[in-house]
Amino acid sequence: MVADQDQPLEHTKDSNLAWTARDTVSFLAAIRPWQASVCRILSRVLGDRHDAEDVWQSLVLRWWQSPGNLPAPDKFPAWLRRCAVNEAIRVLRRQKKLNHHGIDNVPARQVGPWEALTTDELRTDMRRAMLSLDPEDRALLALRFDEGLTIREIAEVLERPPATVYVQLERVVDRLRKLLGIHFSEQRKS
Amino acid sequence: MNERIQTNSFDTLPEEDLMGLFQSTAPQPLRDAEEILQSADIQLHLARVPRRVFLRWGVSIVTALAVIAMVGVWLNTPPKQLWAQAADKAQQVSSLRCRYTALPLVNGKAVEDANMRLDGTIQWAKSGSLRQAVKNSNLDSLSVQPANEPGISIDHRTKSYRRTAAMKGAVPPLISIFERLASSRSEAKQDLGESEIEGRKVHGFEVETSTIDADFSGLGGVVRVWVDQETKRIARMQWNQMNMVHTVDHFVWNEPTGDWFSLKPPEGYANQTPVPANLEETTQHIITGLKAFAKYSNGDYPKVKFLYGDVTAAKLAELNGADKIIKTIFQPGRLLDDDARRLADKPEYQEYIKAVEGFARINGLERDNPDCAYYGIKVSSKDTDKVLFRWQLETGEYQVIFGDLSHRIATKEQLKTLETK
Repeated sequence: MVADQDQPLEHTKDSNLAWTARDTVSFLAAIRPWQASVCRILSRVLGDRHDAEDVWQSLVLRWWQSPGNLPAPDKFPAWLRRCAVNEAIRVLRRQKKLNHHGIDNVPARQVGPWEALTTDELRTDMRRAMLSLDPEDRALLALRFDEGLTIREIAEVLERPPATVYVQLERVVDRLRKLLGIHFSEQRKS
Repeated sequence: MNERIQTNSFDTLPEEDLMGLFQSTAPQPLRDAEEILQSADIQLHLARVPRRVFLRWGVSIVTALAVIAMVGVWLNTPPKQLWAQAADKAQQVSSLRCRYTALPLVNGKAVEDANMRLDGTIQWAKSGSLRQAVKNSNLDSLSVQPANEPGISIDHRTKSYRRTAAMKGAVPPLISIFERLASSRSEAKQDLGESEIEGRKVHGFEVETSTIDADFSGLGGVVRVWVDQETKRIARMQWNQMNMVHTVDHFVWNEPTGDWFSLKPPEGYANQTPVPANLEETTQHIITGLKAFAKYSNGDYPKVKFLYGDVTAAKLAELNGADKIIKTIFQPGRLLDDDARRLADKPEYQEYIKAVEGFARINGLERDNPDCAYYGIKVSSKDTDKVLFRWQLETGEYQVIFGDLSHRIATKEQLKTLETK
């Protein structure tokens, strides 16, 4: 999770991946290469653009103000992604939205009015299917499909054994397939 | 890919196709981190100064004023019976100007270090207005903060300025400190003897700050004061704090303040005042949402303590009939055809869409604002003077929306009164 604000400030040995509190230039230089990835993860896990914007903003300000003990450079991307996943799940817990939506109870408006009007049926189904999953599962899919991480890399981000990640990923991909099938067959019937 | 998906079971869909479909729903990019920092009303020019240096400076300015106040009393009061007179005399100070210097403290001594040295000027008026200039190798800035009014912060390095909010309670009220100290006792802990400062004979004392006021037990416990033997005014004060030696001297008392507190930026400087969150826009969105809800529920607002945006929006859609439109146009796979456009342009759907924004803002404020409250359970549109929703602003004040959806900004004290209605 995000480092404790009371922790002493420290640089990593690699100056490109370190910043002291409120050092904007160094902070942006360190963050920018991973910004898009972190934002995608937040959007996927939270399932709501506005929530993702809120969480992203709070993370940026927190990191900028108090970087805490930054990880070693080779652990930095995993650390950032882990912060994003954990923070998104924490926010969902606070909002009491952690329990996944029922398959038939995914509010279409979460896609956004005009966005939904312009997407094709498969994309809409995919979005609905994603919202039917647990946030942890959405994180797994985001890390695998959006970020293209290996099992070992995902394991590092989520701090779980690779074997566990492998099994979980198999399970969630299978579940995603089933959800898509249900949506798709329902739609064809109609 | 679509054809393959449509002709095959999803169970056997190759992972790369699943990935392709997944990636085709990629979320939109979020705001750039730099934009977030800029819009968060953060002093970017100060951000480039190491935080420890800025903290030292900020703390020291406040400390300096407090110390000036304390010693101003102490100086006039060795005989205890003069305390009251000292307080009177202190209150006659209309302004002061002094030099401020901070040097790193190494082995108990101040040492010159060009990177760490801070030089500044403090100008203060009895009204509470404050002007602080500070300069070092990383910083060259001026801050002007008139009492209870917005101020300006100027960065000479980047030739830019930003307007600042009125400062609330951050500057010690010198005069009240004088008054408070009038009944306390202080004694010189140690006589530092006679010496010279810039050719003038001075006498030095070391004073325990706790004997002046227990609340001022910081500052390393002692303040060293040198008094001009001829004028009986302070010539120099010094204290240690946060591994720095802080010195104020070159005092000038009771000068006309003239344009000390001018808020005019230098010619050609760029205005870099961050755009604050648009309060009026947020307020109007919230009012629009609540108004729409009350319109269909006999003047009642959502009767909840925590207003969830999506739940409230769904309820409104049921109430105003937008739910039928939503069900029609949000069928899976429906494209942006003319029928959908026509439905989306209908008043009930437009009303719903506008209200959703307001509910989302209430939801966000309730979630994130440090001091926010929604009273929809007990306040309706008939309660014209009762607080329906309020949240704290960055200035410490509150934006208040009443039952009749009028709104105003209130101080904390005013809010207490309003919320008792």
